Amino acid sequence: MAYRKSPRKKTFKKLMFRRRKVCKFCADKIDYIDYKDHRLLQGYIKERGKILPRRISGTCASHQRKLTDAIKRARHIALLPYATD
Amino acid sequence: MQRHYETLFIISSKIQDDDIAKVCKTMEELVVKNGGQVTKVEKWGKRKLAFEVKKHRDGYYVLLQSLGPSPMIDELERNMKLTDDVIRFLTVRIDDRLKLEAKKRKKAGIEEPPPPVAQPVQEAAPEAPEEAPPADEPSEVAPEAPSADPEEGETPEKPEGESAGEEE
Repeated sequence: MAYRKSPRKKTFKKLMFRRRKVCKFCADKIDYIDYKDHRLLQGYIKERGKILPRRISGTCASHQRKLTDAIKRARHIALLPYATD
Repeated sequence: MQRHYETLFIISSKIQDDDIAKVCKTMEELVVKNGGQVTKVEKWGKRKLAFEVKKHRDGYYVLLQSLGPSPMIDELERNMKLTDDVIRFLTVRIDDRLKLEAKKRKKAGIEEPPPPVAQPVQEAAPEAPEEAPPADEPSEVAPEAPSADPEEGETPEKPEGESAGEEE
């Protein structure tokens, strides 16, 4: 996976190095991400309830899609919040 | 065509425990009444909700896995919508997931656990389409026959992430 060019804007302040994080699901060979497993899913949402982007969480594309579906389902049945203050 | 479904629904916590059990039972009976069978019921108990739902801060979660024709789920959901005590529900098709798990199990060489016996509710619907039970098993009328699992509809015990009665 290519890493993004570090400074996306002209300033150097936003120098972001992206560790080559491995997708946890690929490593563990998990195919199905259970929406009921809120503890697992909680590691992929921000404090305010937002879903973490791939570049932060390190998941691969296909798992990120499944993860997103699982999180949205969990939100629907109130296992995860939509937004918190 | 028989499909596997998983329904997770939340019963209001503001009603009595007996009523909660009653609602649960009603849903199970609905499954059977509409030509399906209940493969798994998990009562998670009262849980704190992540956000307020219909003026509730907590609710009684129930997981219901079922096997049946698609109209059955329509009926089940329709009833859930009408029931005031059910404040949320979510139904998912789990055919693929079960297949995956069965495959994993086969790979690991684990013995397939026998599918859970259907609930004691009388099963009027003839579940004949399943393959004939093995010769040594006397074909009892209702409770046993539906448990005989066809190749396509395996319902192994699925290790759930949650245990019953959990509260955050």
